[in-house]
Amino acid sequence: METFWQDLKYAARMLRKSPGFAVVVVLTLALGIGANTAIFSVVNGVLLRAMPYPQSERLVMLWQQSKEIPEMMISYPDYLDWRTQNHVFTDIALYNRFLDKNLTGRGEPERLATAVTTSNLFTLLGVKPALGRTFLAEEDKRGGNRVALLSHGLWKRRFGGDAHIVGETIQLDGDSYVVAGVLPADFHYLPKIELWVPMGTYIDDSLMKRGNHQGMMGLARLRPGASLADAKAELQVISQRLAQQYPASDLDITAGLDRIVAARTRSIRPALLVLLGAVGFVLLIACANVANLTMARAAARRREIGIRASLGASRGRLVRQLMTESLLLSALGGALGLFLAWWGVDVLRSLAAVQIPRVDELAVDARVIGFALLASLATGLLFGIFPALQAAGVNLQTTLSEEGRGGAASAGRHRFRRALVISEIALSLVLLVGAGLLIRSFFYLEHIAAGFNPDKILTMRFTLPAAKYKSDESIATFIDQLLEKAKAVPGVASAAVVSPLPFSGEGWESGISIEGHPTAPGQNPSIETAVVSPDYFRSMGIPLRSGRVFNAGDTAKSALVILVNETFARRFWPGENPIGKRIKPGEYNSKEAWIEVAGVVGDVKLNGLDEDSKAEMYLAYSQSPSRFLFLVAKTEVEPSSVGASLRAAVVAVDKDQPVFSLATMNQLLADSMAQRRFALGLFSGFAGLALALALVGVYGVMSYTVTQRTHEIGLRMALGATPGDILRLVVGQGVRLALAGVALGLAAAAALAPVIASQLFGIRAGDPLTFAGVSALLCGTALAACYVPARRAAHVDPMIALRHD
Amino acid sequence: MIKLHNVEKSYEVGAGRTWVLRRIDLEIKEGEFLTIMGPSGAGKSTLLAILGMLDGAWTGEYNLFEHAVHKLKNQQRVELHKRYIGFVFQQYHLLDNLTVAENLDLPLSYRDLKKSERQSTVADVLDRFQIVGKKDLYPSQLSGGQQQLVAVARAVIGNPKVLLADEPTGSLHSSHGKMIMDLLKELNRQGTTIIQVTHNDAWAAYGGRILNLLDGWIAKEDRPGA
Repeated sequence: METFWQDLKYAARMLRKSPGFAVVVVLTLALGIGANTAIFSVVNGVLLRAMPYPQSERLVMLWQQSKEIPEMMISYPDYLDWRTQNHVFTDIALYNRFLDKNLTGRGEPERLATAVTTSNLFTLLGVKPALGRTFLAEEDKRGGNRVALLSHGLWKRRFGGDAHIVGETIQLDGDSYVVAGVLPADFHYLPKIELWVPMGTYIDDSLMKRGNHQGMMGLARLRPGASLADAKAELQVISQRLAQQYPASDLDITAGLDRIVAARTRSIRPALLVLLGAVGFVLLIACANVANLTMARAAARRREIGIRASLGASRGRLVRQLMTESLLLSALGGALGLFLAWWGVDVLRSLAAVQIPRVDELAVDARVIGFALLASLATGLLFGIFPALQAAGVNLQTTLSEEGRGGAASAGRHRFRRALVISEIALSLVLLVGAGLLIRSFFYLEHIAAGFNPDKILTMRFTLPAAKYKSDESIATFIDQLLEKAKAVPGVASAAVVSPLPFSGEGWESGISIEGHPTAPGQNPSIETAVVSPDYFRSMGIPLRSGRVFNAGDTAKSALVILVNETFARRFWPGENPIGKRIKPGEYNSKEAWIEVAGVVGDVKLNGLDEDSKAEMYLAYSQSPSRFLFLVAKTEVEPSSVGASLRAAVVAVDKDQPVFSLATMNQLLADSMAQRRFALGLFSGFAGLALALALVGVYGVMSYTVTQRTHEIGLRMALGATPGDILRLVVGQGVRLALAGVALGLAAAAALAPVIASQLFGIRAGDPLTFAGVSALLCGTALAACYVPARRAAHVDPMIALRHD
Repeated sequence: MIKLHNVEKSYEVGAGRTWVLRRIDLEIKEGEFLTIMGPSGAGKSTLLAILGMLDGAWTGEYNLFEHAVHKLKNQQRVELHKRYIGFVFQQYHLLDNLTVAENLDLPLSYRDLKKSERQSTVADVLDRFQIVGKKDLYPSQLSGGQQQLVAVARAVIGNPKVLLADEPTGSLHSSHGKMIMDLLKELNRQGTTIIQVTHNDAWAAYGGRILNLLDGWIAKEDRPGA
């Protein structure tokens, strides 16, 4: 122990004597360890940390799936059967988080993000209310009490934290609800949800219809001793039984399930793991740089090491002394890195606010600190051990004679340093190829036509309460009046309503049958469906391909017509004229009337530019009114400038009607790219850092080489070499290193590129242009890094260099 | 062949100036074997470096054949050096990571010569210096005398008119020293002008003229054979 303290004291003294070296090493390591710790804190917060519920590892998410649809909402009757027939769960809860409700009667009307849930959700999660109670079992039954639970945030924000709120009545969508309780402040199961209502208020004939998959997700708790595999197997059996019992609705429908953390983070998991790998490469490059610096310093200290050895220090003792210095440096780098990570986590949280689940849970906790400690220790060992072993492996006679001749380094050390630089370049190339591929994908996506013109379009959302808008006529009247007022707003060129709006995150699929193409029960196709007003296509710039769009003649009393998109027409009537063809909602043999296709419009991307165009059909709002609406206004001015006027137009038609989610179409498109942009930004940042570190690495080695070769360079000049010859000599050496690194990196990148294939769009993981461009960039960078040392070499005074001997 | 007139070299030291060479006037004829002697710090090596155009920071006039070196730019001096000058150093200055043959090729590689031509010249010189058997060895595998032999061979491979030798035997055992001096004498007999710096009176006597420097001045000039 005493020797350790002695080594530590000596190490600290050595670093104080070389502050430049110490600062460069600590900063390099801090950047590497800090970036790794910050990304690990995201991985930890999002993927690893348990949810804040008792025994949360036993919580699983449930959904349904078919061959065509990998994740579909749960049909309520199926849920009831799962609940009664399973033996693997203590209980299963069901909720729908897509229900918004208008709160009226207390100040401004407001749209509240609302979820409907079975009463057992709160007991499953082990959540106790802050005030009042949660839901009762009888409130799950149809026609049960109209009660509501407030989120803590809503209670504070809207009701001023009124301690007597329980038992008060509030107006939701025109109905009276009694406040049953207030949820605790730390309850964030569905972070955006501010209001909860019981299942009983939601059950209607439509929900009770088996085969209707209406926005319901399941949450279950595994019984002690039951595994995920057990649960999967049992739900499989139940699903098969239901398929036999109800072939019309349940044929080929199975259950999907996964642990809650895995299920909620499925979309972000690959990107986060790729980022963690990328940032790990940055740390490796930082280690290579620091190892190079340490080697250079060890070469300068050979005399000291030689004297220590001549005085009896064993190799092990010398290695320990040198490793103590390395570990001290890595500990300092780690401490500073942790500080950087602390700050970085705040930045990441703000950058990732909308795109990453559980982002609000990001924190530098004990596990993150442990990671930083481990990373520091591993880093210290990694960059310290080889230089220490090499430095400690001194041959006294050689050392003394080499020292006497000016400290020429051995070929072995040169080889090792060159190998480090080659590795650095190779690692940088892998990162740069990754960043290049992501950047090219991103720009490819940005230039993909969404199928509409998103410029100068303002959108807003509103939901007409069923209690107030009971009839189709009342809805149509509201829409007519709203559109009339909206079109009159100065700066608005045209206005329309649509449900749902592309890129709003909403979707509506409906089962249809095609005349002349009979299907077995349950096998009819599900088609993306939207309800629109006539000016929708003009406002969005969606082209009409054939036939006509809706017009004032399409009314509730006229013959029903639909429009389809090109993909729909190609899929069901390839090579035929779709105009006049007929479809009907539901099963082929249902009693629904056939509806004629009046026109074909262009394809539109619905939820992401990277998705394929889907078959879609459009219904006229006048014939199929919807209470869930988006107003779309094409403007002649900056679209956000007409927001207040459009909001006023809505209020002018119905003063109790809240409007929410104001956004330009371009914002919605940008939001759909946000997760990509986040990953791309970080990855590019890491690649840039890697490039900078590689630049420093090449510069360091070439600079050191020139110092070591001063004598040789002087001699060459004495033998007739011109400055140009020397410049070529040094740059040539650097370029050879770069080429070796690039060759190695290309092989590694080709092997690793498939890892990010899932993040790419429009280009292959082996995109030759990216590989070639990145290689050229790295070679150019290496050339630039060599230039300064090469210039210095070309100006060596041969006499001074030779007299050095 | 070589004419120096009023050549001087000095360094600024603080407010003053330290002189390395003072008012050097010197004429060296083609085919001469000149020895420069003097105590350490007398300016011998500096004078050699100026003659070899490795040092450009001096004043005065230096004419080499018809070239006024003092009026030439650095690049032109490098070209002149390549054309006329060969250099032999006390420490041999062979490159450790190059073989004997590669060391010999080094000066040729800085001249505009074809590879085949260079190979043939290297082969000739290996043969002439009787070191063919050592061509693939590295300097560390040779004795001091052999290394200096290679260094002399490298110095004359470009067929220089003037061979500058800075204490060529300084690091050698006396028997090796004699071998090198005999070699220089032979080269001189074949027409190469030799200018050597030495501390050794016996080696100095190989020259036809001995120049003694003291504190940068030419203190004395002897002609041993005269």
